[in-house]
Amino acid sequence: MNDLSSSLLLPAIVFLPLLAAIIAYLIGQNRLQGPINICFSLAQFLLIGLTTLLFLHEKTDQSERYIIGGWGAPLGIDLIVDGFSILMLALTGLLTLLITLYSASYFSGKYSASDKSLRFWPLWWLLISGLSALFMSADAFNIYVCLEIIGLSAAALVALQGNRAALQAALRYLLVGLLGSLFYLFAIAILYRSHGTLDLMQIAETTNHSFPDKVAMILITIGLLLKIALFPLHFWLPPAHANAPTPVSAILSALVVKASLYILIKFWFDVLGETTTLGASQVLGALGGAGIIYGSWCAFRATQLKLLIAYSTVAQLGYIFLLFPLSEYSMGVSSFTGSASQAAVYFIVAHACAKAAMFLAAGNLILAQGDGEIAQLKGIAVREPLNVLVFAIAGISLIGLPPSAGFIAKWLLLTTAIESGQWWWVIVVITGGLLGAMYLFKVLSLAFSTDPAVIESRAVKSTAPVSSVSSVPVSNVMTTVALILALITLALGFNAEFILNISNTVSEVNDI
Amino acid sequence: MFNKLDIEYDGPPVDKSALSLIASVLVAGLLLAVTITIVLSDKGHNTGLATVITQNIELSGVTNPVTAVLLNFRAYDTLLEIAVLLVVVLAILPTRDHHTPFFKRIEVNKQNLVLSALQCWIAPAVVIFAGYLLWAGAHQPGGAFQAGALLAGASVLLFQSDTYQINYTSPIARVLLVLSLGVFITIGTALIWFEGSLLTYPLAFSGLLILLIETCATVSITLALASLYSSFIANENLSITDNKHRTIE
Repeated sequence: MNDLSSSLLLPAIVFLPLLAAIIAYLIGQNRLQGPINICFSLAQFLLIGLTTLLFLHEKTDQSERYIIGGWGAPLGIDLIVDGFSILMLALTGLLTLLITLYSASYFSGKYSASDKSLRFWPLWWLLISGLSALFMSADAFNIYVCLEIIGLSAAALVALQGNRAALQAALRYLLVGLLGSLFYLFAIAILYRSHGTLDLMQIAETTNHSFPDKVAMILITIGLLLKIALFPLHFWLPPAHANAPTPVSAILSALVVKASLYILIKFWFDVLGETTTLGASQVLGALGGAGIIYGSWCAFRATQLKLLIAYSTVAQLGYIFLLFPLSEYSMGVSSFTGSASQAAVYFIVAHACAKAAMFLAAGNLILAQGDGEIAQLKGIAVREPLNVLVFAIAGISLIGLPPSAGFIAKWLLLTTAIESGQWWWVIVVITGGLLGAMYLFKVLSLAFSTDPAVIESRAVKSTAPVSSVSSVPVSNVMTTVALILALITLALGFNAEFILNISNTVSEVNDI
Repeated sequence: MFNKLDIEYDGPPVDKSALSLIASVLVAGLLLAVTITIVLSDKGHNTGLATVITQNIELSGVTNPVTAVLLNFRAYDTLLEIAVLLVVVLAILPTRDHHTPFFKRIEVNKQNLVLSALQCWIAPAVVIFAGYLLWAGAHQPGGAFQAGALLAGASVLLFQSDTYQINYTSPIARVLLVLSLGVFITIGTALIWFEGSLLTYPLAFSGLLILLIETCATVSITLALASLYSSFIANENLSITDNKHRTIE
């Protein structure tokens, strides 16, 4: 069973979370809920780890295919993994394990109403299975189904919080997600009409400069930009990510927006690469640049901690979109190779780890403080030193200071921009970094302020019998998980070769 | 019906954002129409996959091409779509007590003659017709989704009088709601063991397995759609009782 495509691993990665969802739903409110889910996440992590190792071991230039039902494309549906999707899968596996550990504490009844866990766990596992299925899909319509699972379960998870703001944000998120999916579905209908197949590789083989292909590419780009929340279409993201329960915020910012980005990259560089133009990529880059500046500025102005982090996601997504203008453009086709793609891949991984760590740490701080106001965080470093440390490390990575994964990602981006002679992106990246430092140090300086009067007043406040907001001690597990993610962010900064090796595989695969 | 609706609206009488939304939807619709006409004016390259499907229909175990595509050629998509249905149920599921039995019949003194006659005459006929549709899906249009929708319609008729109540959070309801996904996954993975690949039906049993999956899917779809309807009814009843409490106080 050495051959990856003939083994059970690929379908098991999709089916194990589905099974976990069924079991979590059947056992309902039970004390065993937490341990069972941790076991499932561990099994899922091991499965994905094994798949990654096997894939790296085989060292094939080709992507691996798994044929479902013995039909094969175009009649059936295939699963496919290449370097990029293996990387995204590995990221999914890692974050699933860590955030499941976190959620087991978060939803244990101490911090939230117990009926929330009844919905959370099945929806959580369905979201994970949707993400895993998406990163392996080789079929345009299958991608649509996966996007539906992800979009619906993510919106339901946001609504879990139950207050008015969360419900409004969830409804808007749901509608925007559906609109984006409809754009995508329309494009798929056009593609099927002109190519007669839904398999991505077969579409890629017959793509040309024809008008329907261009329309399809435009529709896919618009639909997915809505789901990714690139600058002018970002309006739904900050409320949704800020009002969701903490583990949900973490997975939304770390992976769910990246899932749509993954599909966009696949279509832009692989499937419909023929239809892209230099001008269009510059437009995407300009929107990304505007997103960096605007997102950072809004984050600086934010008064709620989680809203600040959510706006920071808008800004960070902007950096990844610099991939489009910076990628190599030759003979009318831009390719997902070279240093620009490496920078983008590295950025995706770095941002996923750093942002998940930051959301979890922020959630812990809010639990300890009982309030999400940034102004209330004054002097919290004394009481929650570890969580502030995690926030600081994640912040360093988001700003792009060494030694962190964010630094390497920005370094790659800057060198690519200079090499390709597009110096104006350097200004955008550096300005974004400065703005990032502004809004993150604003929080940190508040947290570390040792104004004795403040601490005294806090001591008085904590001894006061009745307080409008309730604060609870944060469990060790929740702090540890955030810390592990922060340490991974640091380790990725020291050990850049690991990710770049996998992304090298990406460039080889996409040369076909 | 509508005088019972209790929606609070505290915005201005003419909502500017709603107007701009309507305007942008109109513009988008116009653009969409133009795009569709232009795209359709371009000739399609071939006939799609219709020829491939007719060539392989013998191997699928059913003779209806739609069922063959849904349950055999692209069964993986259908499996994930059933998961989508589960997501929707989970999102709207009531989280109240789950100690009442799955199915409860309440004696009501005041009987609506027309309604009870409709229930007695139409509901059984619909159930039988749904069964027929499910069976007929193998060789003509029909199948799990149609049968499930019909059965859900029959359940809406039954819920009109408050005689019947279903508790969607009871253990039985949960089992029935995940039945289709569970059976689909079990069969799909079991076939890896027997046939070497996911969802590869053996030719001799493919018709039978497809019918089994479709039957389970019908049950889950019926319950899912009925729960959608009941959740609205429950909300309405809840707001009515709230109002009563208010007037008493």
